[in-house]
Amino acid sequence: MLAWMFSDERWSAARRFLFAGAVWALAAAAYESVVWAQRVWPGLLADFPWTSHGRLVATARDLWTFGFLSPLLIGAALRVAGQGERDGLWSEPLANLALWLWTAAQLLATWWLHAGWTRGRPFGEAPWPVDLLRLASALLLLWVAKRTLERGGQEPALGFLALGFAAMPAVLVLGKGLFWPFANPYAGVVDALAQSFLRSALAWLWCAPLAAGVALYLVAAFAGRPAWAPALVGASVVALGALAPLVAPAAFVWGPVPFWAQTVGAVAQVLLLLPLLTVVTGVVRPLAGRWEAVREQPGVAFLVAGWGGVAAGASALALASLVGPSRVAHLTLWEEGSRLLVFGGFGAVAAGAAYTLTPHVLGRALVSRALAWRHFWVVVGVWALATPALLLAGLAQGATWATGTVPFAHASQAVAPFVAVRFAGALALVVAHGMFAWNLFLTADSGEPVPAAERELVPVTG
Amino acid sequence: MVVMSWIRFALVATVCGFVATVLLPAADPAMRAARAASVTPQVAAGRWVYAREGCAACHTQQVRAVEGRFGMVREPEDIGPASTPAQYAGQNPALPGDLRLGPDLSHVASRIRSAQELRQLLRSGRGGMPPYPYLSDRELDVLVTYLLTLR
Repeated sequence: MLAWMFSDERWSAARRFLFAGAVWALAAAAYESVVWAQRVWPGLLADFPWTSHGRLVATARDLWTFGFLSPLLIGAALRVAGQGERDGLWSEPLANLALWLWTAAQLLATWWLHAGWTRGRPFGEAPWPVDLLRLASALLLLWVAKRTLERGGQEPALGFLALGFAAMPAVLVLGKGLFWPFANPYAGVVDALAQSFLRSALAWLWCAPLAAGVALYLVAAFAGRPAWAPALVGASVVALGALAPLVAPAAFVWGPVPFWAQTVGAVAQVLLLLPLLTVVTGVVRPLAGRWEAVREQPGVAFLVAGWGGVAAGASALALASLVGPSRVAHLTLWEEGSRLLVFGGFGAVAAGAAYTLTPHVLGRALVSRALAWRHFWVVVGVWALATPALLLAGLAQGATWATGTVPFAHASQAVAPFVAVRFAGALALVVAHGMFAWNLFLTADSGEPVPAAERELVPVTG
Repeated sequence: MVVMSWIRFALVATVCGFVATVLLPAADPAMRAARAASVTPQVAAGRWVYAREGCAACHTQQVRAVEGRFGMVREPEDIGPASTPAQYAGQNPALPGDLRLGPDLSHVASRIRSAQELRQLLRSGRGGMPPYPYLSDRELDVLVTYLLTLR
């Protein structure tokens, strides 16, 4: 049993992270759909404490960020990190230990958040034992990634992976105050800002670098061309790492924090578009003239669309952080629409990486490309319908609040149809994530074996 | 060696960013002037029920400067004056919220003054707000006591 759990089989940790992410992705989508159903029918499952709206929101957020996005991105990043002359991961057993710690943390978080054991901090609800398990896992992953990457290789995308793995434990320690884990060490405005720091860092310091490194590496390998010159990719890593930790006060524009801090947050949020757009163009550029080939590889389409979604969501957030637009966009469903694009975009990148890496971690070809394309079009459809619905609803909310004469209840009733559209989108995502998990498990079970020579990725150094 | 430089950069940038945007604002004179109000154990317990049930998922306690100009309780649904750092002083966790699906609760006690009305609202729900029938009488009492301190 222990030998299986802490296997030293090549790519076993990456494979397990990817499969764990696929399972949790389905759970996250299911929880999300119940949350939006409750926003349409407020009495749904309200009689039971374990399924009350506030607790389900906390559980769904935790599942989406730590259950779905993180394991998929970590799995893909580990596979990419160990490629080429690095000849596999430095230690598969340690990476597997990180996987089991992460999985145990997710199971406990889901249970305890249902039961009402929470820190009460949005996106940081999970209680301290969960945080400590996640921190231990993140430190192990950092150690394995460091020792692996030190073995050599000059691929430009690796800087993003190093940034992502290093930022993970730092974000947990600072954002959740894990230097004193048993109680929240922050209070007052510092706690409000620390909550915002955690929320923005999860996106821009945790998911973004891993998603960027994986997407740039895989698209370059697929197309046989580098994304950008190594110096430009390196500059993007520096810009992302320097700007992302400054975004937190953007959530308090017009709020009770010093004006200079609001300005720093808003400017950082806008400037963050530069490294993000460099990644987007870096993902698209190698594919010039080769779009026909993408038809054969739905995973690459996911990588491109995912980064498009991230850039669109980041633009919406940047717009909302400006003094004028924030009057009507801030604290409204506009922010939910932006998050759907940002976190949905990272989800698409993660799914794309899983599809693309299937032959490289399983040694088997994807069983159904058609099913993967259906998954892709459902995701794009949800973005196309639900995102404009939420953004419009947010503007409607903000505009009616700004009049100061329309009762709040009337504004809420007015956006009900938009919320119903988002609920339909959440249901569609359950189907999409079901197709994703089914396809991966079917491939593991009965996919056609690929020749050994095709199981390696071809690194492009630029 | 290059890898170690990236890792060092990530750690230094994250810590510096945190200090600059989370800790330094608290050193601002307006922030330092804010003093925490003393709370009774009952109010603290009510706050905890509020946090546990995820009320902040739908309700903010953050009136922005652009919204506070309408003054206090001019209309039944009026939002009240803008939030100040003193509103959060000593709060652990702070509960500013980030999404307003229900009304802002910073000054809810200035709109709903009756404990009975609040109890009824929490028990049965209203409009888009779900009911909380499973809360015990004790939990409901402390939650209502807490909400009535938000003036």
